[in-house]
Amino acid sequence: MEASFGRRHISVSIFALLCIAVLVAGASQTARAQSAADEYQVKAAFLFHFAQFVDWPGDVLNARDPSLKLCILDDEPRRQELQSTIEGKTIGSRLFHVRLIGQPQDIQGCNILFLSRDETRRQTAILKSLHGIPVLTVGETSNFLSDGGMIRFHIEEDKIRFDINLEAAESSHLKISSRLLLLATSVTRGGVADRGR
Amino acid sequence: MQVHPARCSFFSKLPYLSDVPSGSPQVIRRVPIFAGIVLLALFGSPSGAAQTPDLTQKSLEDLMSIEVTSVSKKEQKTSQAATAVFVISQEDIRHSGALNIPDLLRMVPGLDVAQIDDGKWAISARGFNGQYSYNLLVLIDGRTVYTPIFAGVFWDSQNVPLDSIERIEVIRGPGAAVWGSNAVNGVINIITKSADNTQGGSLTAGAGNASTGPEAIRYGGKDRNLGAYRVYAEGFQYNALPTLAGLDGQDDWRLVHGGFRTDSTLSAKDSLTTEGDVYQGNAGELSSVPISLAPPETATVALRDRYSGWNLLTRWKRTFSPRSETSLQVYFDRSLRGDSTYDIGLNTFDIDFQHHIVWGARQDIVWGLGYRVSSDATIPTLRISFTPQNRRTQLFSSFVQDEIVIRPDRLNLSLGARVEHNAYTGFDFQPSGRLVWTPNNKNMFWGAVSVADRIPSRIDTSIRVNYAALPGPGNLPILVSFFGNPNEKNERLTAFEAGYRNAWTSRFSLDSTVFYNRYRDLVSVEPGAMSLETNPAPAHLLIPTSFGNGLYGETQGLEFFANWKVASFWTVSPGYAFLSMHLHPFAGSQDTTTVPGTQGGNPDHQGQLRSSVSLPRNIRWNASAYFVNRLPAASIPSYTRLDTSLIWRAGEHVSVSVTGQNLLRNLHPEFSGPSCTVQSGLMRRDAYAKIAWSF
Repeated sequence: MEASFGRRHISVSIFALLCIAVLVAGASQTARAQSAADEYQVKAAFLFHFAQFVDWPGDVLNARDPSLKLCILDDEPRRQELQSTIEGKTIGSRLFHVRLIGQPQDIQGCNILFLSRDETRRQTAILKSLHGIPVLTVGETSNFLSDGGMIRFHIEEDKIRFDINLEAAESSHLKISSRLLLLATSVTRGGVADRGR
Repeated sequence: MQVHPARCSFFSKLPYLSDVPSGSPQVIRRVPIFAGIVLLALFGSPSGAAQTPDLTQKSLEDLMSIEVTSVSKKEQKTSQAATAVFVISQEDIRHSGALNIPDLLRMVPGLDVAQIDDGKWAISARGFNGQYSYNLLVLIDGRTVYTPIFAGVFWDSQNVPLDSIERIEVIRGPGAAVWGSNAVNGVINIITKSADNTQGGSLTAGAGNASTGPEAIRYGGKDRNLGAYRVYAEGFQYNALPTLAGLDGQDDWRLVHGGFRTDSTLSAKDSLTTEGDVYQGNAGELSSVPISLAPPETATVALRDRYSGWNLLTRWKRTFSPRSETSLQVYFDRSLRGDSTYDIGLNTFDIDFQHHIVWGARQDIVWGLGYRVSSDATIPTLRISFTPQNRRTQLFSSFVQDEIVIRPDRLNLSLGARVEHNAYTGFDFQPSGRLVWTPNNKNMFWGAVSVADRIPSRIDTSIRVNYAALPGPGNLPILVSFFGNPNEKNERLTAFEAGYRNAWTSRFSLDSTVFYNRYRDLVSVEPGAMSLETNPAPAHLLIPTSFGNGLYGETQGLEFFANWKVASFWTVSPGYAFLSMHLHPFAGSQDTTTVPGTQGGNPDHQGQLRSSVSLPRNIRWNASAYFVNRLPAASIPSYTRLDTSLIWRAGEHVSVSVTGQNLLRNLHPEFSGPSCTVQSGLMRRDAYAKIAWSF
């Protein structure tokens, strides 16, 4: 009985110590620089850069409204995260705006559409309806590119990577800079994906 | 080989089989300690996160080297589901350091995962746990791995390389209207990555004080005709555990398996997925079995389950229009399994069609048809035989589910029903209704009423197990046997569930569920009249028992789970589950042991606290503590299990992990039937390291 009590005592102490260690490690970390960042804040920064490497047809970005609109469908938590990173940032003279749209039909005026992985159900339909329309579509699901999307995020070993469907972008009259193509994990040209790098 | 341990409580009547020592009540005192630590971790932590730097100032190359974490993954799809669902993401899998699927499932709040010996687990949700938890449906990429012979899952032969898993969806509560019968208390859906996401090669090697492996190799590429593909092979071995009775359990477990998956786009409208696996392995156990009708009649012997099999699945998806898509899935699965006391082969062919259609502005409909044929062949032994020896059963099914928007973005109603016809009990109707109310973006309430059936298996209807032989009066041996019941009925559940989820901030989310379940026609074990039997010779007294549907009951409980991102590098996830079971015999039932055996075989309280910290230099530290209250029927004391792992990403291509399991206490049992024939193993303190290299 004594021995078993002792063992229990030790194991509880170990557990408590481990918990304390977790807390201390956590506390000491707050002061330091971050080693991991929030996924959607980083993705927002990616979207910001994508806008710099994509050329929209001349009539889309007109002089009257020089802003760039990133739209996100019905996804309030994502909007908050994207907005906190890129709202009001400028690319040249163009101001970045994040807009939440409730319905796919409200796409009017959007330059970039971000479909998070929640949108799997409507994704195929939305992408089909955007065919030929100069909106840069960025998504996350595994079949995003085969559904006709243009840039797809994926996570490899905790780091964000992206694939590009150049064919889809070109058929919507968007020009993607070769620098972006070089950084992509794979680029689909004419229905065939090349593995990059 | 253990036959229906969930029900073997009946055999506790036989004193010579109850060699399990009686429980020690001392451990109950751990509950407050555990709770205290949970509170400490929750409230004693530093608050506030470091200021986020302006990420847009970084170059794309810099952004690509940032490690990201996502608490919100689980809040997404799942936040809209009117069901108690938990998703284990690939990130969770990578950070857990777990080597097999059952160990991964421990993180699911409300799931009871208890290891019996090296290769055997009892896994269930909301009660009725046992080696074959016959109320839980498990699927791998749409292929059912619930065996229609034993009614349950052989976890020792169902393994998927963990780095190929995209996610595991665990639904607690009934899912029969969509997933089919036997999805009574839950569904586990293991979904592997598309071959597009496993391009390139990877090599994995591991070793520990009690295990070798997994040694794994995987390669993925793209082919003009085939599309994206991957091939893999994996092998591992676990050393034997000591048993509760202090013997060497001889339960060492090994498995070698390999397979492939291809994902190709046939046209703008069509995509095709094909995958296949082949496996072979064996696992031992110490079991008490009748060996002859002459003394010594019953002995504890080492048995070795040998199993092998292969399966091939193909799924064709076609998008007719943005509002209509179909999927056709066909698979074949062959499995062979046996030790010296049984031998069974099973072929399953399954074809499943689904059509998803958006109808008008408010209705989203999925309907489908399915057909499954299973043929088995068994070889009778002194211990286990089936009548008929071989059998082919067919299952026809159809279902429809309609999700109706009552008020856009606020109120959704989902109605579903499944009609099935099975070989044992004929037609079967399993409806379900679910309502989701989203008053605003941060709060979501749901409620559901559903019906689910567990249909009889081969064991329920046609097995004979000569459970024990013993010396009787006047040199007449006694054989204790139990028999399947060809007239067994479905066990039927009517479930009432309600849940609340919220995401107060992007850093904190909460998921809670309450349920009240009513079961009827639960399987009981009914004694029969003693008789004289001459075959097998010599003549002996037969004490028969057989299955009946003599029980009914109610269970209720609550499950709670939170995810708190304390800082950008640190996530803490507490969870708690409460379960109370009340079973009763119908008038006329003579079963007196199943009720206490089942009620006392499931923990009433389970708690967990998981922490994941991202440290500098690409190191991640995960720690998980699990508290499981005692199982009175099996005299298993309560325990707290602590698992921890350190994962270091050493450069772009190499990752190294070190994991410790059961750190608090060496050699403790997690599960045992009150007097099941398999000797339960004692879980040992384990440490292992794994290195993975991708190229």
